[in-house]
Amino acid sequence: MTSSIKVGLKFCGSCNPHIQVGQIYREIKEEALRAGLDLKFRPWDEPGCDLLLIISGCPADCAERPAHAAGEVAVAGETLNRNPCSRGRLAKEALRSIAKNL
Amino acid sequence: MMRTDLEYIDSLRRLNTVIYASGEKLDNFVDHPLIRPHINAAAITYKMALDPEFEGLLTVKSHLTGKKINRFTHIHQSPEDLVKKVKMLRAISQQTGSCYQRCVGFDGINALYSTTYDIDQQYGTEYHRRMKNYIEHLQETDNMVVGAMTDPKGDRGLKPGQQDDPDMYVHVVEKNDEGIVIRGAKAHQTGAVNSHELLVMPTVALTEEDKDYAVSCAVPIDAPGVIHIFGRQVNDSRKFDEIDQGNACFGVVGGEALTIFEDVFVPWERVFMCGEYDFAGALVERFACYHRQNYGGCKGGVSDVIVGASTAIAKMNGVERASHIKDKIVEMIHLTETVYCCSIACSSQGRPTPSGAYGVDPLLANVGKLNITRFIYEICRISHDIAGGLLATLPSEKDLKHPEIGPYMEKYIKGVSGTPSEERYRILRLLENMTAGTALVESMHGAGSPQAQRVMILRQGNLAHKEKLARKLAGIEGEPD
Repeated sequence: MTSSIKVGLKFCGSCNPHIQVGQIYREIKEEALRAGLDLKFRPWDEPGCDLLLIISGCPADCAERPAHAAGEVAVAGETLNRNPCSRGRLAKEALRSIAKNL
Repeated sequence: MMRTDLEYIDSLRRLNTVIYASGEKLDNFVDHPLIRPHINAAAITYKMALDPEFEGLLTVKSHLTGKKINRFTHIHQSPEDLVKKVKMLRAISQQTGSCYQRCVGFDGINALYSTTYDIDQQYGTEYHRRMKNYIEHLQETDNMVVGAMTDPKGDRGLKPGQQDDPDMYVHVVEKNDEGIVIRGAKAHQTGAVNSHELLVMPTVALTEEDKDYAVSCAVPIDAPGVIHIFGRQVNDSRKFDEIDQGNACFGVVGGEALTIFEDVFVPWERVFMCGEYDFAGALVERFACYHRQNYGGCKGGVSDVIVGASTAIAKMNGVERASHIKDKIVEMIHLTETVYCCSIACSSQGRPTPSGAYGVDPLLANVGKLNITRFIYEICRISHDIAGGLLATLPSEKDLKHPEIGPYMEKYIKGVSGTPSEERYRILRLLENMTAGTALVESMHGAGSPQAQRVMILRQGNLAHKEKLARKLAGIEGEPD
């Protein structure tokens, strides 16, 4: 994959952080670099995003979704797209899910 | 526009706020050690709104302009908005361990938004239009507002108009073509000295004879005739130290003041109630419910820090594996999440008002705040139990740093090996700051004293329904007396 992909990024607000959302984001970015995937992370409300990445501190996954209908990957505590995922695998699996959604 | 934290602090320097503290008129209140920690705490509400990690809670789209705004200037449009408010308060408290003061004005604009709508429906006034304009102004400037409700009250057994001194409650002393003139005072004004504006509201339900006391208006914090007298706190001389403050950056509670209104002029465009005494009670009740909603969020976040500090000191003392310590930590978490549950519940059960804005479930909000008046004391009591007596007998940081006796302090304040004595010292001071003194009293009386919640609980408790249920199951026919 060579063309750049715009990923809208949204955090929940971290009132109950089971995971450190900023840390997960950095790990996903590093995983993308390692995988040679050209992801451009942008503010969630910027128009024209190819995909939305929502990172929530806990499984409540309460971040509001924007109106536009881009595909979505949701990390929420130790879950990925509502399925359990251990902390150690979160970034790798989230990246896999992003790639699958493109 | 959303301000940065530094822009907020700079904006305070441009005001001519009149502040007295400990008998002194403050020339530079922004950098004064008594005031600065509270400014830092309020500044966090600006900083976090611009941090991508937290903006999901601290920002929202304005229903008036469609622009992205700081949530503290928002009118709740749904139960989800109310839930987000509680989560936001918890998230901010976790960062400050202290009050950041902006909720009072936030609750004031929300209470007035729906009340001015209702007044206009009955009297054909134009308060709601003015209120909407005022809220747009707040959203555009990102100004910090004090919710100025509590009057000094004088003799509590007498109504405002029956007091020996008519100024015991803020009242209108003059009306003219340009506006009104108000006189009186508001007590316990959280964040007043470091806000931009005051939102004056009556503090009790009123009757026709108290018409002049039915006044609500917005006043610049530095308007001519406004004087703030800053309140003392337990151990506030520690604010001139560093480690002994406990929470060196953010202080404790909100930094309250007695605010005097000495014949303050208010233009009509900023007047939102003037004589409509029959709506004073509804306004007070709506404000109180919004404000009581907050406590499971903000005190929940503060309690998270207290639980963390108690865990840390248990480890430093080498007792973290003792079963009774674990049990006490569990109890603290249980109490914290119980108060949080109430705030989430009253928000989830929020309901629309005729204005379109949403209010909380009043019964659940009052139950939540009544729990706060007990559970925070219990959380703090358990933290004292875990921390041990050193919490109250620790010598000064000056002794810790003293060239001759400092080494003794290092040696004898030490806990488990590997933990520097200063870290143990700092955690103890943080706990002392957050659990002993002013912060406790704030849990009791902030957003109204316990009896105020009990009155509302009885009124909202639907006793007639409960009695009917019992009579039916007992096989008693007919309605209760």
